[in-house]
Amino acid sequence: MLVVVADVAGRNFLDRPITGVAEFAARSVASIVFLQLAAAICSGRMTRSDFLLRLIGARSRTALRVLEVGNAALGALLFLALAFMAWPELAQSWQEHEFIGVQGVYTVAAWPFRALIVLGALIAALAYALQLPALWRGEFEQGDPA
Amino acid sequence: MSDLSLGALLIGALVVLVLLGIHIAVALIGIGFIGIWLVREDVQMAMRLLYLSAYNGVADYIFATIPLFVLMGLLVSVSNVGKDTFDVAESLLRRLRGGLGVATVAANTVFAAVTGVSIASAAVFTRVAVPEMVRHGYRTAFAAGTVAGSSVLGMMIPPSLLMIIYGVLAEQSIGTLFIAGIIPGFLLAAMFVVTIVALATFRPQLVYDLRRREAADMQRRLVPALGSGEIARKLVPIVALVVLVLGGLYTGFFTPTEAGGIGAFGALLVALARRSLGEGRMWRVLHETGSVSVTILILLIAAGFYSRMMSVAGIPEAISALVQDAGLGPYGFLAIYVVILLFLGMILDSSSILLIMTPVAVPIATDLGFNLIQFGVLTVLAVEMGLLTPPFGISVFTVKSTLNDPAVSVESIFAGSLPYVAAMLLVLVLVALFPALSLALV
Amino acid sequence: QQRINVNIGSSHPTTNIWAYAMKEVFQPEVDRILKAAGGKYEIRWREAYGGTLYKFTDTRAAVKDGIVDVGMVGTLWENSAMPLQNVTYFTPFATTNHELLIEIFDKLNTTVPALRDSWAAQNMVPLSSLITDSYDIYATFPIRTMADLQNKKINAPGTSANWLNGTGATPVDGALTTYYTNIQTGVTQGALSFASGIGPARVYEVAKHLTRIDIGSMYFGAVAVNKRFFERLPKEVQDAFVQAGRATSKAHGEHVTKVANAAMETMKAAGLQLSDLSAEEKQKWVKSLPNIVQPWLQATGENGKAVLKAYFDELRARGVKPLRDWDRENL
Ligand code: NA
Ligand code: NA
Repeated sequence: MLVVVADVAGRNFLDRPITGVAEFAARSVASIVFLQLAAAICSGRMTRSDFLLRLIGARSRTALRVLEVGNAALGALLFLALAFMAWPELAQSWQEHEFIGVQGVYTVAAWPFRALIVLGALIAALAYALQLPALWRGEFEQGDPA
Repeated sequence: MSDLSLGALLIGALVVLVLLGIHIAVALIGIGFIGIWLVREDVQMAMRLLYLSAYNGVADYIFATIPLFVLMGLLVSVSNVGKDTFDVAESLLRRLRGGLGVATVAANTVFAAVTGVSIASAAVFTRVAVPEMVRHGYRTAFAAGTVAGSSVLGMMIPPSLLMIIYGVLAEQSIGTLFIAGIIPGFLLAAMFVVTIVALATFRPQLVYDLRRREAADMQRRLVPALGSGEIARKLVPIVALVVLVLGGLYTGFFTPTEAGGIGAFGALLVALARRSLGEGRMWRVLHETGSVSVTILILLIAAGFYSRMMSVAGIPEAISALVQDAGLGPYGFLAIYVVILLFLGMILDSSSILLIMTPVAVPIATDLGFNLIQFGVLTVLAVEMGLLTPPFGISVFTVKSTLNDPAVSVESIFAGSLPYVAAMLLVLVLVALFPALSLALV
Repeated sequence: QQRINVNIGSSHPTTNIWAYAMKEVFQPEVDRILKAAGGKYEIRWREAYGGTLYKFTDTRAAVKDGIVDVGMVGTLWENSAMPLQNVTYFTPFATTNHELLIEIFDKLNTTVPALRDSWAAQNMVPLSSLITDSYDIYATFPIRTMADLQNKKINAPGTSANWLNGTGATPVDGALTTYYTNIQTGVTQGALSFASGIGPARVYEVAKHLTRIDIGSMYFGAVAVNKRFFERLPKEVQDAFVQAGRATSKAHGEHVTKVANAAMETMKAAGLQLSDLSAEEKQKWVKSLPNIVQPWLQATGENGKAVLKAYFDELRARGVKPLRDWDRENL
């Protein structure tokens, strides 16, 4: 917010925009998503449709547990795959001094953004994986499963 | 297996996973992953595309401002600006059945002139309007559905991201498209109002929680109507915010994408002036902004990856062949086209649908003698209905994430926004039958 | 007869000048050549045009990683990974003849080792050069003297921001899709752009004045094929690709000419006012530019020097007199 305000103010009052604000802001937000992902998973805020889940849960606790465990296992696997794929990209970005921007206008190192994806995806996978035992024991069933 | 049957299978699998309560982002990524793996017979390819979607999927300024719109909504809500505005609306619209629903639609219409993205409208008004409607005895699902439903005005009333995308793809004047959207946009708003009033009159049990409504009514009788001084005092902050954002936009101080940043900044000043950020509330607002934004953005990333899978599987091509081979007259073509858009709207995000369908449909529409401006308005209307239809309805998900109330399920919000989908369909038919609705101002 | 699957695609729809010739010329030309050679091989094209498979941020990765086998690569967006290809953006006021630029880069991409290797390093083989027609200023006001640019805000994304350095105008970020609203609402008063691009974006509806500055045509990128995929193709098919690539280059140049002329006619009919910046004022602009190629040379080292020299040598060999001798100034 402050960067956007500063950019607007700079452009209108000083005729000096902060170049690259759009690109930098976009990159940052895209990476921060992954850092925050684990928190959303742990606090059960990932969007889902639990209509059928509630019906199933009322009839069979086991079926509910299988679904919950399957969900978390699938999530863990997919984010692990993402981290696995993101790692070489990070290494390459670091080695080749990848940047965003334009030589002579502004340049920002790109590796931190790529690193955030590796880190975020790993923690997200971990967050799903750590839920597995509790879900299997059915510990979340009392309150809302979501 | 043909492309279409494979596509049907992959879509079916998504629907099943979503119904089984798999996190929607996980379901989208999972089916996308398996689909690419199967079609290309290459697991590496699936992983590469997943990485590209993750790294670049939301790395666009338009998405980067979503957290700012969320923040703006939360600040407006924490500083009671939203509550005050709705107190005034309630006081003025007392006599009108469904008055607060009408107020929500009206507020969304004004806000639509600021934002070009419906998610922004949904994020702002969930926190502002839903609690107030509930406080005044509305059913939570109806309130949430109203916010989701009226959020589509954000992309119907100019500026509109979807119209810009259509204009570029169809090589039509974006300014003309904007103007063409004005009447249908207001018609849509009017239709929403009619829907609300009609429901409140004839099916009040759908709109109100009747027991709470009675309690709210009792209380209301005790509270006298607001005096004009009180009304003015309560309205100053919101009017200042609207003037700041609209004024800044139309005098060229900032762009629609930047409006979120400026709006949030204005809301922050109001909140500071009202001393509503003490006792750790500022921290809670920021924390909440983060959690809400991440659940919306991860869905956008997942949806982007899923639509890439559709492309790998050749679904867009198969569908375009289907449309081209159908050999129908203008209205037959239009009907098929809208059905396809509605169908895609169930499973894809709006910009992907436009990217897939516009290049296919525009040449056919031209041959059939359609006015491409009218066609654009129809296209955007149909695509926007997808924001509200299950299983993938991003406006509904945005409301759900922002509301963060376990008692309000995704399905109940989908159900709550159903009347608005119906109203949109009606407007769509009207715009198709009466070209003047879109072309009169052009 | 042997069938070969080829995935071909782009981040832009085929109505776009860069993707147009891939679908309209490259594909049919490969088919035609193979058929004429006896039809031993037949290509089964799997198309993914229009950004349904990947966005403009990923044109390099898409071909490099084999997400498509043949694709449009916008090196303009790859300042970090493929800086050499962007020499034209750091050396403005060189040539306005885009067909000539295609010819030059078709040649440089194969003859200059540094350029050739930089494609190979990205696991790609360039088949056909892509360019833009010449950049000018589309604005709400005509530019008669450099003073007219003082304190104006002009959309000039990425590298083109450099071109406004020293003019007194402020570059504002953006893209073809944002210019319209930016200018309409007054966020900017104009945009640096080229006719074939800005025509479809309808910016002339809000910016009624085109001042010809002749900043020049720019090298945009190439239609390229994944190198590993290419090397596994039978020799006959490889040759067909290369030959079709040349035809694509030619067709692309002619298409851009056609689109730019048509856009100009449409814009004029819609009331666009044309004027030329006088030679004197243009000289002032060119002279006032700082040495903008310097940071690029620093980043690219010996390879950059070789490319800059080869590019300007080719320009002069074709009778072009660049308004500023970026090479002599720096080498
Ligand atoms: Na709007
Ligand atoms: Na939908």
